[in-house]
Amino acid sequence: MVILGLFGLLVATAAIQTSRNAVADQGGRKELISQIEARRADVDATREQIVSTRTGVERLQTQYLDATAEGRAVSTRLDRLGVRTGRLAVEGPGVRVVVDDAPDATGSQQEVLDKDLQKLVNALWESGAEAISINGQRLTNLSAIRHAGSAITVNYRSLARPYVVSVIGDPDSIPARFVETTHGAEWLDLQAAYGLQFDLTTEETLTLPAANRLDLRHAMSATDPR
Amino acid sequence: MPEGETGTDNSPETTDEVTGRDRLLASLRRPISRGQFTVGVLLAAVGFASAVQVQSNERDDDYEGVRQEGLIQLLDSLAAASERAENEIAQLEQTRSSLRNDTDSNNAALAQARQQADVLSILAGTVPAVGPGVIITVKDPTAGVGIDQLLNGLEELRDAGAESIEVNNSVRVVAQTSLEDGDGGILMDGQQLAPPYTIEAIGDPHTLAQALDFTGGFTDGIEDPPVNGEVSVEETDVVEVATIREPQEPEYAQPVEEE
Amino acid sequence: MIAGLGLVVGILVGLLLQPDVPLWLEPYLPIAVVAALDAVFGALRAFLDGIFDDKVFVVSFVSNVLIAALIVYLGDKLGVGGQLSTGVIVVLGIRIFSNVAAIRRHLFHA
Repeated sequence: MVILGLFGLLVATAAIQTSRNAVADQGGRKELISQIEARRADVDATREQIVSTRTGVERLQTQYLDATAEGRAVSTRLDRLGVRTGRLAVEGPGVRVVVDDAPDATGSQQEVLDKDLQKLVNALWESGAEAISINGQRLTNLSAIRHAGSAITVNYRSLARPYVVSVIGDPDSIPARFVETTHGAEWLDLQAAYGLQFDLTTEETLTLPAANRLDLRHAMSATDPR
Repeated sequence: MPEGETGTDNSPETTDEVTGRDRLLASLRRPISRGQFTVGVLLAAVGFASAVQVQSNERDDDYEGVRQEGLIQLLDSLAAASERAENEIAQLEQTRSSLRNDTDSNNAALAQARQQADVLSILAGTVPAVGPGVIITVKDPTAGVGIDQLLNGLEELRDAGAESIEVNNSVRVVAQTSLEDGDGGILMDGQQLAPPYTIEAIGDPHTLAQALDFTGGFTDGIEDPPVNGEVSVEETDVVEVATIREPQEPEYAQPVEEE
Repeated sequence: MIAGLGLVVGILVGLLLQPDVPLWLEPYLPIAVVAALDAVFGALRAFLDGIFDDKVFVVSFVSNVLIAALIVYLGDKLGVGGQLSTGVIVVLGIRIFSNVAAIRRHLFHA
């Protein structure tokens, strides 16, 4: 009788302890993954909503701003800032860079990793790019190139290979400046040593979409807000 | 657990040789019997479950090899992104409804446009910014910190929601910011940087601090050999990003004309 | 014959439908499959031995699966889920091996 009682106590204690440590097991991992997928779907849906709401708002705004001189002045300021910050879709001459894993990639060295893409973009900015988008994702001051699992994400969106980097800038000088940058030269090495695919072409006109989100929650202008 | 089907263990093999095989062959010719049908149904279940299990096992490859920590980090950053997106929707809807309802719509549109211009000015670096965030100090006694580490740090901060970043009180980070190796050290947007490096970032202090501490992240990349530097992160309510940039007229990029 | 057909049909249906395994079922499915396989091989051996009884097969099949699931569940609750699962798989594997060896002797006299 006592033995059974002790046994029961042992079982109960172990059960409680285990459920407290519930995070670190296989079931928990699958749970995490499904939560991640669910969140991602949420974010995507909300983003689409943002795009359509924003279009409506902008239309109304333009209507009212055009009515006064002051309004038109602010409008011009918005346009000028919009190109560099990514708020506006832009077009112009530039280059297109398409990168991809080596055709017979067997390991991560022969794959394009997030840090490879980071360096590519860094080299392009250094070479005089004015606006860049990767697979349709416009890069802004808030954009990060990271990875989630085996996929590269930009602006928290997963991208599929090949990675098409569209750059607006001077098509005559960007290619030459690119190979002279540290990261640009590194990419040529990656090509030669690991077979990563790299193709740079100059383009007469490229169109880059506007950025999806440009809102600030913590930063405020330090000058007096009007 | 009850045993699988076995009869007596020592049936003499000689008499079984013929009958075992024969039984099998006989069953192939026999018309449908209840026994066979039952077995058929259960085997179908086994086949079905096996096929499902094999397929299920082969899915979810996207996250193979990512450790628990990485998944949690991803979930956190997604949760933050979700919150920001919701926030923006709320703001936009408020903007839209006030544009529609305000009796003096011209002034309302003006006020909102000015607010947007402020946000864009902060992003473009043309006005100073202030807000909560982190102040990161990087000591680099061996001069081992290079553009790779700083680039990685920049991306990690942005991924964690950094909204405005300033380095060494002299470089304001914007979308076009780039890092390059120079003769005297690191060049950021063409400006020479010398250690110790100070990085000020406005955002949620805790999220930013955590993103850097991530195993194998910015802090590890600098403190581990061979760099052997030192990273200290201070969470604070007031980060002042004071360096500003001259507004630049883009030469090649033009806004797309809308019809 | 029907039995073999049943297996093939089951596999095909599983491959075609491609159902998503519900989260609560995921830890139990693999062990359940192995336990069911143990019952199946046992049945095949019994059939070749001439002592097959479909009722016994059904009972052994169902109880194998249930008990395997129960052991996994208990193991999870006690915190030895991984080890207990491994133990169960090892035991089932040994039994499957010995049943397959007997079947092999029947079919190929070797």
